[in-house]
Amino acid sequence: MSFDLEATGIRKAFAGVPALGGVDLVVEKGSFYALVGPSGCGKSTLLRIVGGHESPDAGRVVIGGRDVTADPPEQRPVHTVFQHYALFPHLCVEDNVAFPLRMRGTGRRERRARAAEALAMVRLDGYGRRPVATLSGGEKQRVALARALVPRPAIVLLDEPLGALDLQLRRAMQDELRDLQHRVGLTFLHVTHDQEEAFRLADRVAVLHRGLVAQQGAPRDVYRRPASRFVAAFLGVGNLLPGRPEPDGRRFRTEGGLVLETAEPRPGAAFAAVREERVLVQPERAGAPAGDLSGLVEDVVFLGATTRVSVRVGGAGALVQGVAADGAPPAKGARVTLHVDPEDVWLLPPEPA
Amino acid sequence: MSPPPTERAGPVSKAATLALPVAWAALLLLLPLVVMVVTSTGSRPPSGGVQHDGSLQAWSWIASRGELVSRTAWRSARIAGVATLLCVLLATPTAWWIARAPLRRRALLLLLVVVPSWTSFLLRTYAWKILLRTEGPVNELLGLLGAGPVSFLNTEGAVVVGLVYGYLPFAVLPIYVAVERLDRDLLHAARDLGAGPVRTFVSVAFPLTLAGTVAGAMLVFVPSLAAFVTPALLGGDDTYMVGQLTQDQFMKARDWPLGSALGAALAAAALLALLPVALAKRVARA
Repeated sequence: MSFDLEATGIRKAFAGVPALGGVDLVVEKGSFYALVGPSGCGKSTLLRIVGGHESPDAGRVVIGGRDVTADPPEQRPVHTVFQHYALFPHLCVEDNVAFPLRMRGTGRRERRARAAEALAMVRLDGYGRRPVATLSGGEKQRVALARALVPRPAIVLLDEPLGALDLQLRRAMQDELRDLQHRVGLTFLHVTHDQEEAFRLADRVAVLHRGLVAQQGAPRDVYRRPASRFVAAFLGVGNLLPGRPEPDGRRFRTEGGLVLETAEPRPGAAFAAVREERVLVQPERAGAPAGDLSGLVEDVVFLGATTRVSVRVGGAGALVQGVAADGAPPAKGARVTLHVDPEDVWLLPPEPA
Repeated sequence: MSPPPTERAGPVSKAATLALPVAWAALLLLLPLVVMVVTSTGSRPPSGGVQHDGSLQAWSWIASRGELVSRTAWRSARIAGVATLLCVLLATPTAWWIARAPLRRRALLLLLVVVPSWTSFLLRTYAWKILLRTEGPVNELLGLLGAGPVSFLNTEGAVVVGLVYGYLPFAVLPIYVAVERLDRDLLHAARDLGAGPVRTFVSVAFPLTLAGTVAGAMLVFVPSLAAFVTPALLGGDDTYMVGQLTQDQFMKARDWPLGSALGAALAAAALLALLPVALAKRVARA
């Protein structure tokens, strides 16, 4: 297995405020890797360090087997797609795309041919002569992509590249980006604050939190088995219930007095994470399975594909988020039954102090 | 594409809005030019001044002494051109340096650029005369270094120094504004895409701040072309400039029509010189 990027022990502080606290990142050749995290987690700083626009206080950046830690951006085999595109306004589309080739001393003919090829790849054939000011946001995005791809760098860095697009265009561009990466076969390192985007695009994701990698792995694993309470919350797990495991390990007792059965015991666990879409809320009926919980509906929110129901369970009053079963959603105050599969109860370790 | 929708203003209120600046421009810019052209078509009465009689004797004098006038004009253009070039070369790094300074320091630095303009231009030019004279501080310093006294004064070089000193702020300010407005992401992008610092400047930063550079160059070139205080104080017989020639008609020869004709000719020449620049900008924008 070969790696395009090996960053080790990357530390960076701005005016004494740590932004990255010792990050290790290994990106496999040809993969689509997403760095995801809330704003201020250090993901953009990490990208800028890989690109050479920021120098780390400590650590090494190795790209394609070569240590580039001390190299300026123009000497690194990486190109960035900037969030606000950063197209050169004094150049036409073709000259923008050909810019990195011109800087490499590629001849005029070859520049034109390769720029046209790159523009075709992002479906902008015939746009070469247009001034960039006349392009729409989506078109500018494609030009920025073509410009970063055209010299075939070892890694393409994408800094929230879809952040400025509206939702519909964003979704369309995500699919296109993914498809493009498969076609060109280059390594993509993509920064986003949108976990859905990261999952949708990437082969591997790393969740950053306070300048550290909180978790990395395949999207499916990270989604199903978040490593910490932070990751679970960031990935939108609706129920994070503090408590402790029962002595038998197979059951978890929450502080609210709820007892949940789990398929995967974890000694010393401090939280139970249950996705709200895995909690089925049904009208109360006789003969419910033994493990089911019952409670009173406190709130009902229509979300489109599902209806979220907040249920007060148990005497002490644990609040559990679930989704309504098919049919008419329950009314506020109704008595309901909650069904949770043991496979969907994931236990988390205590938060580090 | 249709133009962006603007607030609909009635023709009356639109005219009213435009009336003031138009009147202003007419009064301050156009009227003096008209007076100048009209005066140039008079003749000089024996006691000096102007007599409006529609004579073209001032213009025919210029035509008959074409050699003297054109030699003076070319010298002026050369001196002004060198001063402009030096101003741009000095102002560009200065403007970049100020634009990259921390925000709080920028105001101070800009103030320092402008502060000398608060004292009289004449006085500051005299100061240069003192600095550059044979017994002046510059030559004393050279003497300490073992170099002989150099007669700086009465040379084109001294005039150029005086002009550069006097008009440098006019070059710094527009270039600073252009640099300050330049999107820093574009410089990062250029470096990211393989351009070193020099190529980033040549291929991206310079073309994108060219408007400021051109504006600064014009603001230096035009007053330098018409300068008379600087060459009079720092130059000599060999640095006689069009501005002095014009000035002398009014103050020495008391020949207002000839002075006006020379002034009008200078204005026309400056306009001709700047026309290509203005046209080039229009073409670039299209």
